Amino acid sequence: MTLFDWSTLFVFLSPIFQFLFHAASARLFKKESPQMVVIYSIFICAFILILGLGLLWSIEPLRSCIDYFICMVYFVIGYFAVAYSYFNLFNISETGRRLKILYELLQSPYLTESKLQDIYGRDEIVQVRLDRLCAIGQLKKEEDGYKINSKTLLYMGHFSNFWHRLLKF
Amino acid sequence: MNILFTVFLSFLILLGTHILIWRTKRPLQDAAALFIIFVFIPTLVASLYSLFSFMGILPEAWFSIKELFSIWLLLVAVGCAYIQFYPAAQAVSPSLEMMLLIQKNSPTSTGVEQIQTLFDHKKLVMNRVQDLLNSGMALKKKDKFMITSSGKRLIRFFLFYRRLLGLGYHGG
Repeated sequence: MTLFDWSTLFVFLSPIFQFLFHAASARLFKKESPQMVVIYSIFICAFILILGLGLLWSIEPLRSCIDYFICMVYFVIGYFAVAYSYFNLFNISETGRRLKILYELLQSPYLTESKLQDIYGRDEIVQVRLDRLCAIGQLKKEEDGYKINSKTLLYMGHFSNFWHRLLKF
Repeated sequence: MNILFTVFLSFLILLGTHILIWRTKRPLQDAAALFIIFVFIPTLVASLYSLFSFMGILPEAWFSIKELFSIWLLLVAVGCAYIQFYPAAQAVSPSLEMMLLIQKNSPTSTGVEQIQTLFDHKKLVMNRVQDLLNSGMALKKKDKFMITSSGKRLIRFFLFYRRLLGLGYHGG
């Protein structure tokens, strides 16, 4: 196995590693925000895998710094691309409106339009999201309302708006 | 370096194709089209390349099978990440809409009542119900909505997944 083979193998197996780390973290930190738990578990898993790669590479005969650098770039891009997909999969299960509607239809078939609208209380759809944004540190609650606490999501939003225009929606 | 460069170049070509198609005429089944562009095409090209090099049709193969696998893996991983990003570009999420309003009002804080005026409660739910009807996950019979077998499979998959994580289901 060469340096690059190890990086490829770790990227290939990363969904399994990410899931196992997440499952352990979700059980350990049940009271924390589920979205923060998945983010932290992804980063901790990355750190451990990078250490593992370093250890495996140390067995290899000495290579140039460029070789190590390329292998690391390959691993980091691959790992975080997979992690982004994994995070979104989890996020859908956490926040998806379509899943919530399907769940209600599974629990009680033959729902009318008015019953479906009752799934969310009139104010619930907003309040649940505000609480979630506060829990992940994007908003902060003050006495008279909400304020921006971190601009990370906003920057992502501006980029998606730009992409929205690029694709001519 | 060759592998990273090949992945970078291939992804740019796939992304360029996607943007060009979308700007010309957006496919009706956009999720399927994205899957074809970012997953199916790289897989097909990699398979044909392996087959031809195995049969000796390619006189001097640029990449070994192992290198080809590395290229395919990274390309598909990045492609899948892009597919996951796509819905965010397609429509502004309610959470983001809230944040944009709060930012607009800053430094003054924004009250819940004002945020609630952003959304038409009926539309937020019924638009998603329409999505489910269009994708065959639910059906409507005499003013009543029902879940289909593919809808059942999807929600059961997510319930199972969350059970494995030790989490209950509250939903969005």
